[in-house]
Amino acid sequence: MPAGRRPRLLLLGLVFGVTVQLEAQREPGAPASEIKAAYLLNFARYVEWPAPTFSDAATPLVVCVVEVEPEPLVESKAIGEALLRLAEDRTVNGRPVRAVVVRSSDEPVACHIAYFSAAATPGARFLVTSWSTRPVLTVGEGEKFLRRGGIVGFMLVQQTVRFAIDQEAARRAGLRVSSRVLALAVPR
Amino acid sequence: MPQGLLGVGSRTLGALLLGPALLCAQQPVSRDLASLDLEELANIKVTSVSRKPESLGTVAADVQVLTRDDIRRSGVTSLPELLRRVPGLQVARANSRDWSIGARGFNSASADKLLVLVDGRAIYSPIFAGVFWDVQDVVLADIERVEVILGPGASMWGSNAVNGVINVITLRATETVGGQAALDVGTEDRARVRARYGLNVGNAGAVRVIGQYLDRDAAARFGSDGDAPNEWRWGTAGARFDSRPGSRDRLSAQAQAYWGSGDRLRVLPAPAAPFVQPDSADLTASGMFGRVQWTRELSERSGFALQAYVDHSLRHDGAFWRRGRVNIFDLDFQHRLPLGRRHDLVWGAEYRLIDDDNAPSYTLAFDPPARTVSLATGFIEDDIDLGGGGWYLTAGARFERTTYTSLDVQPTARLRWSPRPGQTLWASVSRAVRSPSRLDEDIREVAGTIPTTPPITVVAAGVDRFEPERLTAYELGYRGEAAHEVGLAGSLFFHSYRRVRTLVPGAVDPATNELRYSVRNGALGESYGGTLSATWRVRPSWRLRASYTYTHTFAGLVDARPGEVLDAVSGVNPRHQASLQSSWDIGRTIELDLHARFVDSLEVAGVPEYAQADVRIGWRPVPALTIALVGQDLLARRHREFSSDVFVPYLSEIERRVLGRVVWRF
Repeated sequence: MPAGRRPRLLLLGLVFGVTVQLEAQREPGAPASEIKAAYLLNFARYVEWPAPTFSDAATPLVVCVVEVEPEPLVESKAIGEALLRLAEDRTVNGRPVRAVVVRSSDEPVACHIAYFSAAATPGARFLVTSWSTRPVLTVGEGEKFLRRGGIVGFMLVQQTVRFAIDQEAARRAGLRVSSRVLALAVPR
Repeated sequence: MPQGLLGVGSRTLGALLLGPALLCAQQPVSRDLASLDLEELANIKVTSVSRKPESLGTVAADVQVLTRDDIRRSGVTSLPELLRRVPGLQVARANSRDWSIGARGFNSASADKLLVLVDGRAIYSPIFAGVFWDVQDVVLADIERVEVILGPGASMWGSNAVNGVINVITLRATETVGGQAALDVGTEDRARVRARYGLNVGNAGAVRVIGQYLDRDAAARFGSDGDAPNEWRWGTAGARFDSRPGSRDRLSAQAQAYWGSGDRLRVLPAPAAPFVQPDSADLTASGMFGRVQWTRELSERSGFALQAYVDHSLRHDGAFWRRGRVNIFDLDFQHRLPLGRRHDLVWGAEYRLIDDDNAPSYTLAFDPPARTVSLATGFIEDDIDLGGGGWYLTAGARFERTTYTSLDVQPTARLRWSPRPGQTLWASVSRAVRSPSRLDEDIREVAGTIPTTPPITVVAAGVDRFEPERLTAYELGYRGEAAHEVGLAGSLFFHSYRRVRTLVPGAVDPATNELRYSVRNGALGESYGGTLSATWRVRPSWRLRASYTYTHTFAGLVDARPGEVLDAVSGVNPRHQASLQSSWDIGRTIELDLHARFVDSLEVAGVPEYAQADVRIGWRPVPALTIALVGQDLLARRHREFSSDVFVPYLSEIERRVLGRVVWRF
């Protein structure tokens, strides 16, 4: 399946469900999946990739949500859908952003940012490990993700979504993370 | 059927059909999060923590999954062959087109205790409660995943889910946009041509059309250099449409037709001396089905699915079964809703109408030849968070009433404990029934003639009020990460069967000189054993999988009548079964896959044990092109896996074979 065609599907999700609207009015905030998707786009803004990564200014920055078989988790589907919607027609630092949902069985996609909802499965580990020395910002869940070789791990802190960063892993990948991001990261 | 609609036990593996739909409930709130900066994001409260991840790791059953990748790398050409790769399933190939597939013993040649679903459509034949694997094939490249549940899944899935459930889920049309063409050329699978084209329809959906044609050489004839008469040709064509007309709705519609034909040779009983007649008429079978499904999510944790399908099939099997026609209509509804914070409830109802018509032959007839049978069923199931410590209880029951039976209740209770993420221990107690089929109630089959004077015709006959075969199952299992990069799954089971089918002879009828064996619920059965499977990611590019299955079965008569016999083919299963698979990526473009298996002897069928191995080498020089070379059953020139049916005067052997494959994507 050409992953790039997915965004079209997403457009369907523009009508809000009544139930959801009511919930949203009751409590100001956002679902965790929405917040995480927004974070992924923000990371694109504050991370510098090595020079040869983009051939020109029009080369899109690719943000991937990896659906790891055999466990396509609800979480990754939710984040994938949110990301596809948020990334629609958006640019980051003048560069178009392309959101892609990847199945680990699909042909390898050149991701610049890759989100994994589950890192324990062999498929995910394979990708995290094989990308650890390439300029890919790997993002996952929790401190545990960092121990598996990932760069950014989301965590829930007092009902907000925060993240931790393994700066050493980022350096190995050849990425420069803005101090603004580092300042906000949960200390390890 | 059932939870096919919502996925395996809907909330267990979850997220299969309704699951994804539920997600759109998480629509954006009133502000555009993407425009927020990091610091602002860090301060937004999380309103709805995502539903608890529903993965294999938390299912209280022995579930195995084959992914798209597994399917592609298997190199096989048919669904039954693919099922060999599932630990715990017992798959035996009789010849080029006939298979015996079961689990946990007590499979007859017709394997009547499995529920096999393709996108929620039950494909087992209501005539004998088994699957005609020759025509009920699926285009493998269209499969998203195959989920196999070993053991009873009746409370959630429906009747016939006694020893297991095989759930095939095909890709949505929106996932197959673009074109794909494939050609196989091989020594046994002589030619297989497959084409698929999918395109977006508006911005809301997609449609795909598919076609496949297969020409398979016959299996070898035991004791001879030549082939047995069982060539096979199978073709299918169909279309599928998927769409999301609103943010909360998904629509799916599908229509497909298939056709198969091949030669065969039987020696059938005859009314006059020499009391046998050869029959070499071809077997032809065809069918078509249409399916529509609508799912809607009502909130993050609730939604419903409505599905209807019609299925028409026609089978001409020489002078044995002159014509069998079956029409099925099925309507299925499922609703999922939370009750408070700890209860996750699913309930549903299904109605199925089966109308068949069978042209009688001397050997096989049904009384009445045409019959309309209905099945009405409802189920309810609750997944309860027992309040901390990672303890969950799933309790449910299915209530089923058919034309053959009064109300049957099939309850289940499943307890699972996840001491930490990725580790699950589970235990369950369930009951399941194998509903009577036309074979149990209405069949009249001439088995042969004893050439005395006068000659006596031996007949097997169904009885009214055949009771459903009953199973009580006790299971225990573990699934989790045993060590770094090592996944482990194991299960133990004890199955106790009651009212198992037997045949009781009557007195010879002096008017007709007929010796009639009547079907009776005359036996008890037991089976026990277990499956252990392990996956080891040795290196990022190399994965090993191993599995072992032990099955012991026992059956005995209860209050045996004089001359009573167990149904002849019961208990055809290997005691030991083991497999080893290796998947290795050599560089970025080459894949090397090995699959070796050992299958113990089938004592009742007189089939010796065997070991076999398959190899696949895949090469993807450019993303649009894959070239593969597949060798199957390489360890011997030919081997036997199963016996023939009683009227077939020869045994078939499966031959070593090689296949070349080209897949082009455009």
